[in-house]
Amino acid sequence: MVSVAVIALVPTGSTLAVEADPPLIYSGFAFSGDFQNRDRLYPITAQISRDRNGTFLDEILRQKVMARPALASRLKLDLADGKQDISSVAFALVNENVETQRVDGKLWVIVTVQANVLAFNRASNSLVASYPLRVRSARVSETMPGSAELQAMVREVYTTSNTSENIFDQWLNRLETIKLRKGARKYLRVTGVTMTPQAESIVKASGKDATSIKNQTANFLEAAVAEAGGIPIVPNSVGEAIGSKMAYRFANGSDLQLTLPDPDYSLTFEIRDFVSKKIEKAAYFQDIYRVKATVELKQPDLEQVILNEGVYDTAIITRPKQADVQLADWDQYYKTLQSLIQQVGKQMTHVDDAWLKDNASRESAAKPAFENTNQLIQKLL
Amino acid sequence: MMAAAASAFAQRVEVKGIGTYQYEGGFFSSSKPTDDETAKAVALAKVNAWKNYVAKLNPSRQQGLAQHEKEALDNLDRFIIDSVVIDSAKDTDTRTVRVVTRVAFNDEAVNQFVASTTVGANGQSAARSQDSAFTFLFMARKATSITQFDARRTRIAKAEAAGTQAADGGVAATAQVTVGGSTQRKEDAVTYAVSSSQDLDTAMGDVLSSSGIEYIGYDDVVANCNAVPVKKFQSEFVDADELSPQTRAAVINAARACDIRYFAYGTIDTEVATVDPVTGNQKVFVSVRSQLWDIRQRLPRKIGSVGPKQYAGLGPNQSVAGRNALNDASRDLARTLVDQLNAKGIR
Repeated sequence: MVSVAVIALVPTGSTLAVEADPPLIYSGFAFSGDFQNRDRLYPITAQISRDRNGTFLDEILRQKVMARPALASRLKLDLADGKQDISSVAFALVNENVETQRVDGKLWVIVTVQANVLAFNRASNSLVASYPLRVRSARVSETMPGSAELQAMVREVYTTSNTSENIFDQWLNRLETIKLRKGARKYLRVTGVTMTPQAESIVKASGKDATSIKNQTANFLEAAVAEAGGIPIVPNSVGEAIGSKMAYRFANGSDLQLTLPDPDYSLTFEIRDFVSKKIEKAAYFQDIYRVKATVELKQPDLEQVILNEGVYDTAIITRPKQADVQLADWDQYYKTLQSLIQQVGKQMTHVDDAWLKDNASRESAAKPAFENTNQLIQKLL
Repeated sequence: MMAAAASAFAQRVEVKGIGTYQYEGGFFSSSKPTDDETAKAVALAKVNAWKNYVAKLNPSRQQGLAQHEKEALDNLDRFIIDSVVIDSAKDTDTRTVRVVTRVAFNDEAVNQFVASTTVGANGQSAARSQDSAFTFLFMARKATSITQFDARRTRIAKAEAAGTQAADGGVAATAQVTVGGSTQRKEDAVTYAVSSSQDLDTAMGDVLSSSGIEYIGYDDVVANCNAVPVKKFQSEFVDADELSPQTRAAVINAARACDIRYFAYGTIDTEVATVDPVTGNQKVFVSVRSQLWDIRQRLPRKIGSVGPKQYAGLGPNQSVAGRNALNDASRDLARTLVDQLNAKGIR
């Protein structure tokens, strides 16, 4: 097995340094969502977290905090019960995903870990702000990896000494750069991911669970927008939140039922279709995969639509006939979907004419809506 | 900066409101609202946020605010910590501008306003309190065991056989089986034991005191006016879930003899702990109910009641979970009683 790439998806929009701000309460490592779903949502991390009597991950994070004196002086590390009336911060795990993709005849194993810098007030159980971040780690393998190998890959995301590849280091970097605004603010949230019947039929025909894909899509979209814009975003919790409450469970066994604010701007994403075409040439095959979607951003109280555009992304793969390489359609679709979401996140922050021409259904006619979105994102900083 | 924002969170309640204002427009451009007209829409949005906030309060406090609505609206800024205009939209056809705002209200400032307006200024309230002495008595019990019965299924099968003889001498036989039955479910058998109401008394006393309610402890009523000690009737409550009319009358008569005018009594049941599926912690439910009586006259008059309400507490063990539930229950109960007392002009 050869390690090929580790991609740390780090936001670029926010560069504010830590100031001499009053302290925050360190609440440590937390799993987002219901405790009973923990093993299903985060199967590998849940296993890892049981090491050292359940304190393994929190200890690593705590040591990393201590290694940053400026930050450590700002964080109260005594795992207070949070009754004090100042803001707390937690590493809130949102998503753990292991996927395999057969690309160009090789088996890629991709681990994605997504977490939030969750700032909240425990006395009132209210959200202050939430900043998503992700680390993706990819390896090429000849064979399908076993559970021990997968666990080693996920463990590496938490333990590696390479700070650019470590989710905890990324979390700390993010914590150092955010600046929580004083007073009332505007909240953006991914409120829904849907699929048309034809898109859903392709997901099901590929043996995938449509609900799971929707949840993953919501997580990707949330992170893509927040990272590109450097903005906080209310956790989407698609499939996990009951009403406006979101549960978190900490390493010390304490729990939190956070009241999530009503979104002031709701972001929805509809996957309209997965289409593909195979072209045979003299020396090679060409496989074209396209994912079509609609992205909508609106202000629900005024029923004001800011953005409602059809978007798509295309992947073209050339296979030499002699190579006899087989492609798994779903893997290509999923890779293309992720690419589309990543690009949509960027366009919502800074619109690119060339991208619109190639990826927006209405091409340049979509520009005003994306520009309005860009302006709105600036107001959410 | 962060702590400054966070310091008021416990009292901070964020609510959204929408304001719509019909505009005339400026001298040079009548197609859009002037700044002044937009500001009026914002002001209306804040008022609507206030109305939405009030709608979420308990009925007693809503009642208190409704009696002084104009005063509250005239002083709205006193209750607002901060606000943000989220967005606005204008409709050129109807010449209206709509603004949506998010307003953070100071819950404690509203509490104080309700208390001061319903009771009056400090001197006035002190005078009132002298002839409106208040005491409360709460009895607590906790479930020690719970027996849940499986459904009992009774299946009845009735077989009937019939035989007929044909003309050729052959016999034809038929059999019919009728199947039926019933399922009986029996309610849980719960056994209770007396538990201390000290935690509840302390938490309630905390809220009552901080709300400016002067109260007399039931123990002092026992000591000075020969009221029935709690221990004497605790077992009565544990078995029957209520006081007998005789005990209740004895308690009230003694309180009246001590010049108590308002008397609140209630019960609190703590259930057996279960595992909370959301957090994996122990979870304990507490059920509370209370009645507030004006006992000045021979026949007491009920002037308020709370519950029954259920509260859930979580914790690493049953004891912590139970205390957390009890604490939440007591404080909420006390808050509601304060509002009901305030509505009667008592402080």
